[in-house]
Amino acid sequence: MQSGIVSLIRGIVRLRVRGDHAETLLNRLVDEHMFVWNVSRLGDELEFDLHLSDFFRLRPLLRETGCRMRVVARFGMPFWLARLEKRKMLAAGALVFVTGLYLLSSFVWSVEIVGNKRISDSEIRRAAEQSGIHPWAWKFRLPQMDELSSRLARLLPDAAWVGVSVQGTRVRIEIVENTLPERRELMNPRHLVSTSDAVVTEIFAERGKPVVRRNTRVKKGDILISGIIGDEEMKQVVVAKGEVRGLVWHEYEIRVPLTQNRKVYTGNEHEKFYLVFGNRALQITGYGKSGYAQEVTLAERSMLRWRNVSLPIGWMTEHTKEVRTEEFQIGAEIAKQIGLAQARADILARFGTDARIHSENILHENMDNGKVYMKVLYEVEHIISTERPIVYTDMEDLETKHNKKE
Amino acid sequence: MPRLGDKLRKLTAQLLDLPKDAVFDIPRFTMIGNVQLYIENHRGVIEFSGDRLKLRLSSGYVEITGKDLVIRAILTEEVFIEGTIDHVYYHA
Repeated sequence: MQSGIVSLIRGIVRLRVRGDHAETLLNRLVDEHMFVWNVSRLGDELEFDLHLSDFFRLRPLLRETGCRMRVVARFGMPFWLARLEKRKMLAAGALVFVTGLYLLSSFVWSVEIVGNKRISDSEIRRAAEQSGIHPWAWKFRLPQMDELSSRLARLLPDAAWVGVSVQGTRVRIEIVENTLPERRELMNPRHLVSTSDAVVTEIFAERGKPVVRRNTRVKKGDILISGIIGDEEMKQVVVAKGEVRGLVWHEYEIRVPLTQNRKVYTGNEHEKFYLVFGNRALQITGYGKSGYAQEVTLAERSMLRWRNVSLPIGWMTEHTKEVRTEEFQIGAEIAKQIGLAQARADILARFGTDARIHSENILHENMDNGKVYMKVLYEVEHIISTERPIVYTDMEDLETKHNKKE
Repeated sequence: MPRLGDKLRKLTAQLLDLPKDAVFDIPRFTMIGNVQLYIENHRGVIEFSGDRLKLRLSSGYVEITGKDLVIRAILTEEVFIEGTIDHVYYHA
């Protein structure tokens, strides 16, 4: 009824009718169920809008009422089509364009591969090609997504899951790789030998033949776990693996002076203030040397921030504090404790944190020249095994030595 | 004195609470401000000009005067008028 979309498709004509019985014409139009709207009176003309299909039925009614009419405007698709007929090439071109676009978008233009770290791109592309995914492939001839995924997964054994999705003209292949267990390091055939003279307390051979037993005395360089297993007839060289712990005697000579030095702040401070731009600092205040004999400098830098981002602009304060070395005396007992603690820490550092000190014996203690002098014997239990690679030339020597021992 | 039929109709309308324009065949006017007027149940246009519209009714006629009157839509028994409406004269 109104000039909606549907009416536009049908075509609308705007007419002006002149005559004495215009109102009768209006009533007749309504009786014949010809929709009429936007009716207004302009002088002695009546103007209204009418559907195109009804326009052709107007003539008899006009004759009936003795009115004349003229067309003032036309809207709608029938008129566009008429105009288009005069421009056939335009219509043809539009059609060619649409068909061409459709055709071109039915190819696969690019294959995108996502998510592969170990598997190479070219390998995946080759597999995809075998399954029919390559540029210039017809999209319609491609099998379903799940079939493509399973085909690719079969062709690529290293992939745990392969996903194929088509987005427009792009085919996207997503790969999730298998997680491989960690590769073990390559190790060369070796024996495990002793690092020092010791008494074996624990021996645990994971691979290789254990040569010594608990409470055996070994010397530095003795084989603890042999990399040659088997007897006379069948021999095999392996990587000896395991752990051997033994009790070792370590002797420490400790000297602790009774006069210690310590650094003390005197309280004098010199401040320097800088403005920081990127990596450069521009000094603002605090010119001049601090003039301290000994000093320690602390710098505090604060950068400007905006929300969570640090800008490269900020300021820095340098405090230079004067320091003085002070001497102070410690008692002999305290010096002794300090010395022993140092020795113990050294043991742990050198022989591992799992070293256990079984006993600490002060063999000799002396205080002279303002220094405490001690000789301490530690009985420490720690790992004594270390590796010695087996070289083929001296394998025979080792064998003979080995046999001789037994 | 109104005819018996009319009296009966009036009684029925009152008892059953029916809308009067359907029962008595009289028009219904829906007016929005003085800009829109929707008339239902008319019998045709007698006269139409920019400032006057006369509509025939089942009994009598109605005359609407105003300025810039435009019939936005017209159906067999309904008419929708827009413009500046000054007076509505009902001649029964």
